[in-house]
Amino acid sequence: MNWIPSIFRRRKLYDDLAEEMRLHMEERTEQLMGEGMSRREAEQQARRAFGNRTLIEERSREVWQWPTLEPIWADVRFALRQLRRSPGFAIAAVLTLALAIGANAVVFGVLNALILRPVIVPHAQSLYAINHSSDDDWESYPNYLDLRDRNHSFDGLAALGLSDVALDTGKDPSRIWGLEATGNYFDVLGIQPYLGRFFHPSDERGLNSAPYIVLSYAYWHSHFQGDRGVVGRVVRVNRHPYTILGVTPPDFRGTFIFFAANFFVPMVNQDQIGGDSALNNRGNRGLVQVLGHLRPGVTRAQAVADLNTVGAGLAKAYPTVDAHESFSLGRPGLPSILDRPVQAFVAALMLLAGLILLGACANLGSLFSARASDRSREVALRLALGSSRKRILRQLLTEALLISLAGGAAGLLSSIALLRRLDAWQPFSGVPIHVPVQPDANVYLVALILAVVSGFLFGIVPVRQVLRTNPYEIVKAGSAGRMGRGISVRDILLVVQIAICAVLVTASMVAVRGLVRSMHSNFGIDPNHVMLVETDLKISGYSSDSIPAMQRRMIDALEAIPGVEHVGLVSFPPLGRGGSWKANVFRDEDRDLRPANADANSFMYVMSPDYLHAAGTALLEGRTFTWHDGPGAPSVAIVNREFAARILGSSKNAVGKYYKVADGTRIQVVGIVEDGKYLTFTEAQQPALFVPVTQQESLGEQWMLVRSPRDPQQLAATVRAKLHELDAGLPLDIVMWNRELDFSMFPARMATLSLGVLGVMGAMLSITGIFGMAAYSVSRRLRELGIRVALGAQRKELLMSALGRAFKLLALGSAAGLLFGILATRVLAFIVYQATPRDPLVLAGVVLAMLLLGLVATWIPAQRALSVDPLILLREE
Amino acid sequence: MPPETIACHSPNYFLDKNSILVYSMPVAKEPMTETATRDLFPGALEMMILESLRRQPAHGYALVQHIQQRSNNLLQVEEGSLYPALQRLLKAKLVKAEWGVSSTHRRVRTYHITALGLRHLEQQISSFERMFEGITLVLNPAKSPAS
Repeated sequence: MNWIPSIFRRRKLYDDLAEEMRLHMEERTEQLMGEGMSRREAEQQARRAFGNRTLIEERSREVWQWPTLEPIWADVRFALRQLRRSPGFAIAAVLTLALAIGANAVVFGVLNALILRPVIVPHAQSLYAINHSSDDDWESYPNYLDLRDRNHSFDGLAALGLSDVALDTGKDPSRIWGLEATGNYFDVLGIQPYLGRFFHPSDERGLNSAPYIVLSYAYWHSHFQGDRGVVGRVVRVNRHPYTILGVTPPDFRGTFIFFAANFFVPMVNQDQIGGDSALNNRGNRGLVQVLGHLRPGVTRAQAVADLNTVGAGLAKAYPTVDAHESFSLGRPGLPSILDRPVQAFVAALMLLAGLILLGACANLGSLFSARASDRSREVALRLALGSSRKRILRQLLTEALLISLAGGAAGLLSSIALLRRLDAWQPFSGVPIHVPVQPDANVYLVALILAVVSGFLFGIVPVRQVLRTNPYEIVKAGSAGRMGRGISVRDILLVVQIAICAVLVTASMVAVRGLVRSMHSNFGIDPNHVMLVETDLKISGYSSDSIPAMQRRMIDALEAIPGVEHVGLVSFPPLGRGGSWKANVFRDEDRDLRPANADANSFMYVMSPDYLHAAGTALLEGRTFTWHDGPGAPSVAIVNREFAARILGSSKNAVGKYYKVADGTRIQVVGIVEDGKYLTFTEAQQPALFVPVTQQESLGEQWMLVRSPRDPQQLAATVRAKLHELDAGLPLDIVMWNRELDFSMFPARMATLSLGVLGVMGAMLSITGIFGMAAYSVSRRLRELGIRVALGAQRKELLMSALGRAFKLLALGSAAGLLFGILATRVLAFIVYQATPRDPLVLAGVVLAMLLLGLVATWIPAQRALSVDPLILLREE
Repeated sequence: MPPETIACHSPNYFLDKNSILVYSMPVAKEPMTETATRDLFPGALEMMILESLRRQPAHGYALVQHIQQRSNNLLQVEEGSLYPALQRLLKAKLVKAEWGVSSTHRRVRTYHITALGLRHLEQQISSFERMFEGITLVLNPAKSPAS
């Protein structure tokens, strides 16, 4: 390679060339003078004969340059010089793009992590979760066993479920969350231990036969200080001795995306871990997620057909508990109940972020076009000097790309910082929920592509302008040109940009309003002044026989605390993180009680008599339970209005009617309560039923509701003391109900937050856009404004002529944006509770916001227009 | 060299001027008239430069004069266009250049043809002659040896 010396030699080559050409002209001139011409004539003639010297010199230099790289480098240097000459423009442009590309990179980072990127295991492409209906990917354990053993399509099927246990390592007994998994879980995934070993199918020899625990790397690191001697140690899990087998590799935290498991325990020990043996219950189709690698060569369709064959067999063999729905294959990372909302939401965000980028491009496009017309003299001069239009366009594009790359880099850097923080964020202290959004190469690539594409997008706006430039006209007439007549590209761009911003502002306002309304709407509970006390009597060693008496004593103890108004006990509080039970119910006249024939799958709450008062749920008709509704008494239930309407025929006069459950028991409805929300704030109205705790199998996990206006901290201490008087070893979790509701609010809050941020960004963009346009038009027309002032124009007229156009465009853009925003928010309504665009407050808010934005953005240009001093301006000319 | 320089200049002073005008306009759009010139085909200028240098080393100005004179002013070369061609030849190591002083005591950069340049020239000339012969045969079928 001889290009390294050639770089150093080049200077001399160019010098030689220039000198040689100068001498040539000199010789020619002298010769012509020898023929009798004057020096002037001779010099002119020599120049003419030589041709365009600059062009020829450039051609000659090009011989030595790398064919494409060097002229581009020259363009880059020229562009940098140009930008340094107008730093305000450069900074504004780079910042605008940094914001827009940053927003896109963040949203794409989330999209990438949650939707595009598979779970981090080897051969993740062929890993599927098995859904047994369109939106349910959970199965019962016996069904899982049959699927595992009878299918021919998977390289082993594993199952897993979430669980929280009381882990006692000797010093700090605490409740931690992890996964219970079948023995083949790690084998099916192909994960190798970081330390020690994992459990395998050979470790399972029947129920509670495998007292082993595997720790996640993060938990091992934070709680065992990375002690390698931890393998083989015995810890207590729910008071049972478990041996630590090993530690998972650092990047493996289980196969649920949002959930970072702290530990892994064999599922056969479910009895000890979950406090009840749900493993044998074939009807409990909410216990485990089933996943596995598709065998090589087996298509998805074949696998689904195979699974359906097995499923049909199961439904035939167990008609009372198993309704066969068609299986499908889902993504293993997200529980499918989350999958679709998350996908829809992230897609919507991506769309809005894309709009922001488009708005930014429109913004920059109009800036560039304004700049190009300011520079039309320069362009004309260059054309006149023999530069090709291609060359000038290349130079303009280089400038645009330079800005977009700088903006892209800045945006990417800030988005990486943001994503890292989001990745480390744990919104809930008790539960290892986190959003794993570490940016990867895909994110960088997308940011780069976006930067380049947007650079081209706004870079080509002035192309037509340049192509149409007539150098002769412009050099003759000067660049003071045709402003404000006709509709220019810039006007259209500004309207587009304002419309996009109005869409964003509308969307975020709708979301914020929806959230505010959802905070204040009726959920069928009153969480204020209610304390939740979570305990698990089964984990704590109580038998089914002793639990009811203990529950009664606990309620009595808490009711005795001064200032406590009501104490209730319930299986899971509505809208809590524990989820909810559901039960198949049948109308009284139904004969066929197979699951497939169920009339409703109702939420089901097991509660103590005073629960309704404690929860603040209004009893509309009938009565609540008493302690006399015991095991011997007739089975009774309280239902909500929705249940009454669907199952009992009508919500009026439903008290006293009966419904049936799967085992044929007739249950009499003794009360009707108001409707509420049970699992999420956004769910459609669901049926719910409440049954007395005294008529049910004893609860393991239970939540006590303590309604009291007393100071929460004081009360919590008293509650703890009172309950520990009954049993000093009882693990308690105490939390205010409002705080617990944060969990259910989380998705809506996140949605609102992200929409709010996008809305603010849209607003900022529209400010810069309007500001740019107004400032530009005022500065271009300063002379005209000065003349108007000199001729006696009033302030109002002056403002009208300076900014009237900007306001007209603003109004047009806002109206269009509002319209699109209203259409777009139909999509939002799926995610944000009670998001309705037909809300006068939202409409007024958007109009007001856009007006304010317009005022803010035109403030400085307006001041400048008003302060025009005709004397100075006219003297300057 | 001086004799050439003197010999080649001004009888066609006006024609010079015309041809420069022609060069500054897009040739292709002009109707083909007797006085209109056409662009040289790629490599032609290089070939003529090499041939001139084979006879005698020269500097740029002398080369222009030489080419115009030898062609009886049929070829009007824009003087400057010589230089990119010379740079190409330099880069390909077909010629080499050195600064010196001419017989008229001018500082000049004189070009010499290299061995590589000689070989290249032979090839170019023979391939050009074949092409030219082919074109002539097509344009004058009567003189074709086949007929």
